[in-house]
Amino acid sequence: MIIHVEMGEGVVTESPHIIKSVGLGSCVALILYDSKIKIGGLAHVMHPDSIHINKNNSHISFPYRSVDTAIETILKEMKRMGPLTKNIVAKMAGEARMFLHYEGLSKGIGEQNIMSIRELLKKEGIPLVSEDTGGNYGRSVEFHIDSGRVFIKAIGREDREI
Amino acid sequence: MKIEKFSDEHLDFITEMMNIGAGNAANALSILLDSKVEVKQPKVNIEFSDTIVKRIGDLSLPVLCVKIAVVGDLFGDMFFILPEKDKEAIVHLAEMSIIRKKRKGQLDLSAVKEIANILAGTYLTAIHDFCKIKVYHSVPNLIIDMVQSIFDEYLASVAETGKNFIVVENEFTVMINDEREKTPTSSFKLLLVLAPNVDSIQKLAGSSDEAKKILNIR
Repeated sequence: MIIHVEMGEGVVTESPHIIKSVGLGSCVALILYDSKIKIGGLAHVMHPDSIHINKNNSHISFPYRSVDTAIETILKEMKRMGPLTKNIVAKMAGEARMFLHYEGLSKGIGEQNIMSIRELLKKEGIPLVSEDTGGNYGRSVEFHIDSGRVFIKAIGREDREI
Repeated sequence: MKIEKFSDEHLDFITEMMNIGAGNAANALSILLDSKVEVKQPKVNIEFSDTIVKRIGDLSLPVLCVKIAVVGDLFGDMFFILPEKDKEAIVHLAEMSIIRKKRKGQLDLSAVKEIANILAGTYLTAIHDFCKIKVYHSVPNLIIDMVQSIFDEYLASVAETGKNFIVVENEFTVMINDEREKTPTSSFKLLLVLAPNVDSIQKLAGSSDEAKKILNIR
């Protein structure tokens, strides 16, 4: 079954499902995968942290929107589905700057997102095995849980695998 | 009173304003292309952060988008969105108005930016005349990509404010005034998305209320 993940959403599921997320701009598709028990999760994260956006407790109702709560929630859901092994790896894709000269030289929201992901994965001890980030074009991500393979599509570019 | 959402009355006011904007835009296009331009009455809707992308179309559909920032008394952004299939038609029209050397096999999109620039001016003039506020716009920024990824970054930065978007659906038909032309009429749909910030919503809604008072409408 193909599960579609929209902006600010996330899902954790088991083999043989496929998780799909279309149109990642500055947002990042964060993928955590346990290759031994074949359970994985994908979150379409929008913000680097939940501190400045929790005005309406939205970090509770939308845990996948920010990097910190997304990692926490994916791991929690994965643990609920099965005893996790030490084989968890992470992959990510996204972080484009769609309107380049608009934002000047300041750090874009995408860059802040991936910095936050790197930092938090390090803290959790999860290796980031591959990524496809940067550029100024949108990406669509397809995550096959049975194999752990992640396919990336972009308009006018060749398909890639990370 | 702080207005965070537009009411139906405000929507009527905005629709009227955009109607005039579309008329101005058709007029500008007509002068630019030296052709007859027809415009249908625009459909105006208010959308929110969570519904805006779906309103525009299929998330993965490629579109041509020109983003223009609005400054002055109104603060926000304008997006001109064309379905990608209309790209060639609009480039052709653009080339008619601005003679440029065509690079081999490549569409010259800078003329499209120029057209969006002119149209942005016409819509903002309508807002200025109606609301008596000062509005200016930035240089245009063009991108061709998936709808979702264009709005992705933008929505991420406004996600928590329950942002109001004004979506204006326009349809223009250009009847080209040239006998040699192979396709004498070409029509295209243009989606204009206005993303005013919270203060600007106050301003727009405030001018609507004021207009009502002046005209003594109950």
